[in-house]
Amino acid sequence: MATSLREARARRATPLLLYAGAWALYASVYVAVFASSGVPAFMAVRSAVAAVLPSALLGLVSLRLARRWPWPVEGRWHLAIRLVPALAGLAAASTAGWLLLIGLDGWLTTGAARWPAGTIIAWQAVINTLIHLALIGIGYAWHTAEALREAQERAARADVLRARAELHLLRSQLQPHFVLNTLHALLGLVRRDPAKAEGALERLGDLLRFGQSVHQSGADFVPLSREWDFVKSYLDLERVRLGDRLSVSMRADDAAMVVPVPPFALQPLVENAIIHAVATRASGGRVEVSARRSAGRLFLAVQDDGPGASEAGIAASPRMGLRLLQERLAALYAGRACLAYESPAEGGFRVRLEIPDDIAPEVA
Amino acid sequence: MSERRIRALIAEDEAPARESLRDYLTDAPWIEIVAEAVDGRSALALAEEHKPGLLFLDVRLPELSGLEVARRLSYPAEIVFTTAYDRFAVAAFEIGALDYLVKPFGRERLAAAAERVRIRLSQTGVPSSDRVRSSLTPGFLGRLFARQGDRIIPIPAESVRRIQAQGDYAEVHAAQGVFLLHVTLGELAARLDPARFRQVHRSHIVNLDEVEHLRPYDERRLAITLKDGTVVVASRTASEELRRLAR
Repeated sequence: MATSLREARARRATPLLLYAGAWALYASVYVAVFASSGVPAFMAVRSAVAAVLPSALLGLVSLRLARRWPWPVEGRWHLAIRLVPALAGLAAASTAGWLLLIGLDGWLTTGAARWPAGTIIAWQAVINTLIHLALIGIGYAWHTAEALREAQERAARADVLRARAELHLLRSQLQPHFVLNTLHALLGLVRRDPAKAEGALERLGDLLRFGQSVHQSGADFVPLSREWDFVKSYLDLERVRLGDRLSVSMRADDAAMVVPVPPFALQPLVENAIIHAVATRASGGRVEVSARRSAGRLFLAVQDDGPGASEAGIAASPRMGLRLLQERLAALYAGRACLAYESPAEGGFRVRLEIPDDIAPEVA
Repeated sequence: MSERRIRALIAEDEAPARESLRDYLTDAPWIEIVAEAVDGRSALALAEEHKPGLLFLDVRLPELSGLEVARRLSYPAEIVFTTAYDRFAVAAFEIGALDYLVKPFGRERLAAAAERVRIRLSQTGVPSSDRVRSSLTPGFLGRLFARQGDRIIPIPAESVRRIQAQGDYAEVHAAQGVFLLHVTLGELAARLDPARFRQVHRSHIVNLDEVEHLRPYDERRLAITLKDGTVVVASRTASEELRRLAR
């Protein structure tokens, strides 16, 4: 925080230093010109300061005019009507300031004010006009560049948000394969076992509603208890299709249940386990899901006893489930979440998800 | 019913789906289920053992996919595939004029599919196991198949003159006639030998052997006149490629 404040201050100070430097350079040219025309050194410096200081101070006003009166998209005449008098006023004020300083200087050093000749005054007025015109121009150029940069930054931020929303959408929906296969199983049950079909249809409705409500609210987080129930309903339906080929264990701390998690953080991992470890084997398989909260972190794990997968296999998988989840976590937790997977030597596949337990107080 | 019964095998790993299939097939008494399999490997073994004339194969079976079972079958048989959501497989089924049922399907749609098979069995034609080998084997198509009423017409690739997109259908203009296949042009293009077939436009594939002549259409594009008189304007990119080829 302290560093960023100092940086911000430094960023603001740099243009001011540049501005002062430019004027100093300009003033030294004056000194050189005066000195070369035989004016004593000290007096040359005083005259240069008198000529430069008022313009330098009022120049800050010129530079900021662009901010006050931004370049209009239409009706440029309105701007001209404001700018021309402003320019004249600033040039006149600068010239008056110069005269005042010259007079003051003469009065202080010789006891009587000295006034420059009329042509010199006119010449200084012209120079001051040009100076303020240039400064106003620079102000507009600066302001436009700044506005452009801000617009680009906003667009980039919007891109990030949009990508995040797309990621969200991609992962927070049920796989069509699952929905269609489930409907197929239920279609057959309608006559053979109407009670079972009814229960399963209710479950399917719950699943679709969860997905729908997550989409509609755009919620980045839900309490783990909701995701947990979602996974349970999902597994109930998979059991209708897979029967006793599917064996499941779900274990969780009560304390873990209130932790906010991204919706669809757990379900795709469980679905992956079913697709790769259970559905691919006629004998079926076992899926273990666990949730544990400790030391400010939530630990989720999904493990199966299937054939496992290599790093290359995961990268090549068209489902990209794990990779998408990883990107989503990166967007939501900015490095504070961790997704790890391994194929242990004794077989199977294990995914571990670790996230902070203090995200999003606004979670309902 | 006086006609002979046909022996069938069911391969479906999900118990409810298997039961449904068995249940629905009672509506077609001419089909006699002689074997049921829960994975691809046993489906293939049971098929080779019982040699059923009709197979219901789910695409996603454990151990060995339904597509693989069909390809490895050593004897001619009619096959009906079942699948929930396999776009690649469905495109291949269309190209091979193969029978398939997309899940969820119920009694009526199964009955319709069974009826199609019954009619097919009463005709002579290329059995579906042969069409499977053409359309499901990776690599470029030697021939494709189109439905015309109840008949299935084999179309050797070289007799295809051009293919035009019609929404998500492909209209195949061949020596045998014009046929509509329910595949996208892109899905079809992916299966055609690029040495012979070029997608010259978003909505057109042409057989280069059928080109009569090329002439400039405007600054950047070429107009292709085919031997049958059709003129197709190639896209800019395709025109550049064709110029290179013609050189």
